[in-house]
Amino acid sequence: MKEILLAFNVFIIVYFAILNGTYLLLSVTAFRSLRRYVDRLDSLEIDDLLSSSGGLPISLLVPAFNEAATIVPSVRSLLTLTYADYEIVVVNDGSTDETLSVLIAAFGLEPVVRVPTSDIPAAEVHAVYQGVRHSNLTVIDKTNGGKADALNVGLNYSRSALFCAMDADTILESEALARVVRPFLEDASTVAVGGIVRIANGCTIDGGTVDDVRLPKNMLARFQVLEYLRAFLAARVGWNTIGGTLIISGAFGAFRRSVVASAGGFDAATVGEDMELIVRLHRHCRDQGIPYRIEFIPDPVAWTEAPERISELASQRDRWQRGLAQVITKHRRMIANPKYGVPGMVALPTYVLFELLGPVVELLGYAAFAAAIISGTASTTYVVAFLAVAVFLGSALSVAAVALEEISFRRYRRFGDLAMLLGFALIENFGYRQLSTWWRLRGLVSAIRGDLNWGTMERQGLDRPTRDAERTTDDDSMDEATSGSSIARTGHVTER
Amino acid sequence: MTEILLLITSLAVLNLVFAALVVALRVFNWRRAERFDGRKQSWQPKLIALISDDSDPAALSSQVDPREQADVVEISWALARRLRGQDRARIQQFAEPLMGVVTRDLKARRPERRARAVQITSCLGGDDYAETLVDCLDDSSTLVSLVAARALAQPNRVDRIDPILDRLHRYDQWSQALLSSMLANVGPEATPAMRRYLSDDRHTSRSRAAIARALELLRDVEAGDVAAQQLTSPDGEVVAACLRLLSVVGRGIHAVGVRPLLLDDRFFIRAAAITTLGKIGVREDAESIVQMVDGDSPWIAIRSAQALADLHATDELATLVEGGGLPAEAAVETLYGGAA
Repeated sequence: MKEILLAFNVFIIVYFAILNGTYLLLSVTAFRSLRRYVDRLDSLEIDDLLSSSGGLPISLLVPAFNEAATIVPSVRSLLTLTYADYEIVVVNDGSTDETLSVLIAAFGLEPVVRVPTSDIPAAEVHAVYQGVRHSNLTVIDKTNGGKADALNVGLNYSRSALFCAMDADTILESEALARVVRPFLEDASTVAVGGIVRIANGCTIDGGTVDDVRLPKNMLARFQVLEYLRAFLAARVGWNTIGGTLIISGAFGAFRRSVVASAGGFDAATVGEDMELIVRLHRHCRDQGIPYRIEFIPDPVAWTEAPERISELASQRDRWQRGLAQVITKHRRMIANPKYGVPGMVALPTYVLFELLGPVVELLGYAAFAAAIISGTASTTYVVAFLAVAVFLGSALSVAAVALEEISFRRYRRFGDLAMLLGFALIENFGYRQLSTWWRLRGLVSAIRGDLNWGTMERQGLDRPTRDAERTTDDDSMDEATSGSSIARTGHVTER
Repeated sequence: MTEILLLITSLAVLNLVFAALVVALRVFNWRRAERFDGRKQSWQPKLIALISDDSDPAALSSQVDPREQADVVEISWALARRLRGQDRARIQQFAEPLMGVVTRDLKARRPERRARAVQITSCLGGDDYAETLVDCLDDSSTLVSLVAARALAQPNRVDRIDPILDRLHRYDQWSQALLSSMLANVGPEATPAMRRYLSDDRHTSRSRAAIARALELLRDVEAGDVAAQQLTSPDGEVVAACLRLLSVVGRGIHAVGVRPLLLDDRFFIRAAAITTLGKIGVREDAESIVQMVDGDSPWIAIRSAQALADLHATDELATLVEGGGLPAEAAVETLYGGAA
């Protein structure tokens, strides 16, 4: 028994070392990439792209469920974005509150006939409304079907060559659209682009703009700031460098409409519809022989409100883990399959080993560690080694993420905030990380049980914009119908 | 045990090094920003004064300390980008003696640095550096080459269009919308060269399609004949682009080549042909367009309804409405501007 425990303890240490080492390697990769990317931003100024008439038309798809309290200021904020040609498509997903009526009243919406341009299966649409003052604002009222279903309806009714999927409570920076479209301009084979999601808790927001970036006062939200830096600036930039991007956040991502429609749109049967779509796009494009690029770029910023209560954060992490499990189960054939290149051979196996199974191994590791100490079988060597790989290597990852922020965008200007982030890099390893692992383990169990519940989050509320916008744009470009692109719309639905 | 202690010490040191690096970076960036702000506060008023008075730009540039040259060039560039004509020329004269720090970067190892240097050179260097920019078109990096092309594609500088067109195939991976707006920026004087390019099937289909879009943006009426000749091309991308061009600049005579394309196998060609026929066809074409409408393709239905409206074929539109389904919805959307 003692030998088994010892062997398991060694396995755990090796596992922790490989896990943290892998992510440290990604951070190093990200370091190089971020420096190049920041230089690239300077090499073709965003102002030039904005003033150029070469910007591509884009539809902003905004699913809304019971957002009566915030939807009007959210839409007003979206109407002020700096971009030449975009439309906003709000999809009221069967809200039981006043979401639709407040939209109609605030923007003078009138019912219109609008022909859907794709036939991705989705819940019934009751009516389509268009803004009188803002002709680029469309509201679609439909039966409740969940976020993915609402996005599919928006996709069916949008007509721009590109669309941007976002959350109703997300604040986009004014240049975010121009920035997220940039990779589509630089490479015509780009099919999806993700931007960075940052945490707005603690920031000063005025007129739909984040004016002063500060760390949240809430401890839980502070931990999440660090997590987001690690996830976006280290992991996603790192994965993007080697062509292994598997996630574009549902809070902010831009897509080529024709490819997403031909791949079947969003999967309403998963709670991780954002990751599922990206994995399916890899699969679809490689199966069909379509040249494609899926990019993550760190400069288009979407601000979101992070949960500040333990129960809400637990529910969110539970859902993320369930989503991950569903995606990996659904696309298991891609794993270690050379046909799917880096996503299949490297990214997915890494996600299985460290993201999906990570919570199981980590918690078993903590349990074995405790058992070894209690039973007196733990040597000082083992205790020290465990702490070294679990704590110091883990915190090195977080400090590296803060370093990545410092070499690139430096959003947290105050020295106190920077010091706080560095301090939290160490503190998070004692309690928060274990709690997070526990929530993820619960998510895994829920996934095995087949739970599709999204959970809820009570928003504390971000300060919202008050300005109204008077801009209008020409409606639909219908660009994709006549572009002659090799990626023509096929209209069929797969993976259902 | 020694190895383990070494490991934990190494990891702790790694953390400390990372943390120290972050703090050092913050201090470095803070000091650099402070230094730049100081120089900006010092030089921006002098440069603004230079625009409005008749002082000697060379005398002012001689006051620039060699250590602050790079920052002063940056400040001059930011100002010059917002200026035109004589005002910009004054800043260019000021910057001329400082251009060494920029042209040095044209040979930098990283393409991003070279591309930025091209941008600054094009703005602060003016015509004196046009040849340098032409040389940059052949840079090994397409990013640098494209930035040089954008810098050269300035209004009324038709003399620069040929070197750009010679390298247009290099930018095939870039968005056609970006390329066409860049080319259209040169203006109508460049259209003869673009028409020649469009008619030459030795060029790549993507670059020819970009040219067709540029001619469309410039509304070049004379391009109609060239576009009509390309309608029999086996290259779908070129045909679709030429149909779009014809929908803007085409004449009735060009409809002859468009009509057979209503039956093309390729969906996007049919959709474009319908739109073009709506713009340049005759009333009698309405019947052919109605036959195109089926209940399966919303894009075809929408385009057909719009084309019928363009041909003032109200009877045919009414027929679509009566037929119900997708074509009827498309007709209602077209007839009533979408109002339900």
